[in-house]
Amino acid sequence: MAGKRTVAGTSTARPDAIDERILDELRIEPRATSKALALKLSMTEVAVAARIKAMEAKGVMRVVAQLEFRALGYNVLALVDVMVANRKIKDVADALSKLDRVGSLTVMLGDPPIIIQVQAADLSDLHDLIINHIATIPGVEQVETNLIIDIAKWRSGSAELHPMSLPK
Amino acid sequence: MMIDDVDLAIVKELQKNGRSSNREVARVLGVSEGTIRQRLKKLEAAKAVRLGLVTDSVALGQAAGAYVRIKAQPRYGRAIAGKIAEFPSCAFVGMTMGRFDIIAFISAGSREELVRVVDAEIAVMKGVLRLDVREPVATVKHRFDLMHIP
Repeated sequence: MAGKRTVAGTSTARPDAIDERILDELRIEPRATSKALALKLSMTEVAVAARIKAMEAKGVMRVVAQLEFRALGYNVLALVDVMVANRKIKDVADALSKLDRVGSLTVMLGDPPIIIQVQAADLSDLHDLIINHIATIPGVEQVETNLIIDIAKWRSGSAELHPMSLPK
Repeated sequence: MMIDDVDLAIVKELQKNGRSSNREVARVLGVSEGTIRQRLKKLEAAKAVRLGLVTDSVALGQAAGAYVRIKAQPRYGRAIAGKIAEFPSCAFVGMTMGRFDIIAFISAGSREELVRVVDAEIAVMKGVLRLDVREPVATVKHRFDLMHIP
C-alpha cells in the first residue's frame, strides 16, 4: 500500500513527511483551519484539506473532543485483571466491552487474559460494577483490582483507531 | 465541574469531528456560534474538555507496548512514577493501590526498544522491588474520547 497515490497527491498507509508536518501542527492546534495550516506550511488550502481528509479516511488520525472523567461524574479509576475459565476469552472480552463503565479493554498474552480500565462515581459504584456487572458475566472466574490513586501521566494522543480483531 | 446537556451536545458533535467549525456545530445544534465559542472556552478553561489530535499508534510506528506493573518500596513510589512519566515511551503512569504500587503503559517502536526501557531504565530504578510486564495482543476497546486532563 505504501507509495500508492491518489488524485490529491496523498500517499496511503504511513504518513509521509508532509503529512507529519501537518500532524505536528495539529498536535499544537487541533482545530487550526486548513487556511491557517496552508499559510504556515506554504501549501495550498485545498492540498491541506485533502491530506487531512485522506488521513482521516485511512484511520491515521482524528481530531476529537476529549472529556475529563470527572466532568462526567467519574471520580474513581481502576485497572482490573480479569481471569477467565470455561469460556472463550473473546466472548468474555466482547461482553465486558459493552459495559459503559469499561473505558478500555486489552487482551493479554498469558495471565491475566484481560486487563480493563474502569471508571466509577465512587468506591461503592466501583464495587457495584465489579460485583454485579463484571463478576456476573459467564466465564469471569476471578477479578483483581488495582485502584488508580494518582495519575502522573495520561497521554491521550495515541490509540488504535482500528482496534485489531481477535482471533476467532 | 460537571457539564450540562448543552455542553454534552457540543462535545458529542466534536467527538464525531473535532475539526468542525463553531459555525457548523452551531448550525447542527440550532444555537448561536457565540454560544458554542463561549461554552467551549469555559469547558476548556475548567479542564473538563480538550480538543486533541489522536493518531493511530500502528500507522505511526508504535508497534510494541506493555503494561509494566511495579512493586516498589513505598517511600520511592512517587519518585519512580515521576521518572517514568518523563519517558517519551510512557503513555500512562499512575500510583496504584492493590497488588501493585505503580502501573505504567510503555509504548515503543519495537520489542527490542520495549525491553531496553524496561530492563535498562525501569528495573534499575531505586526502590523498584519487582516488575510484572504484560503484553497486549489486542485492544478490544479504547475510549480515547475520555481521559484525565492534567
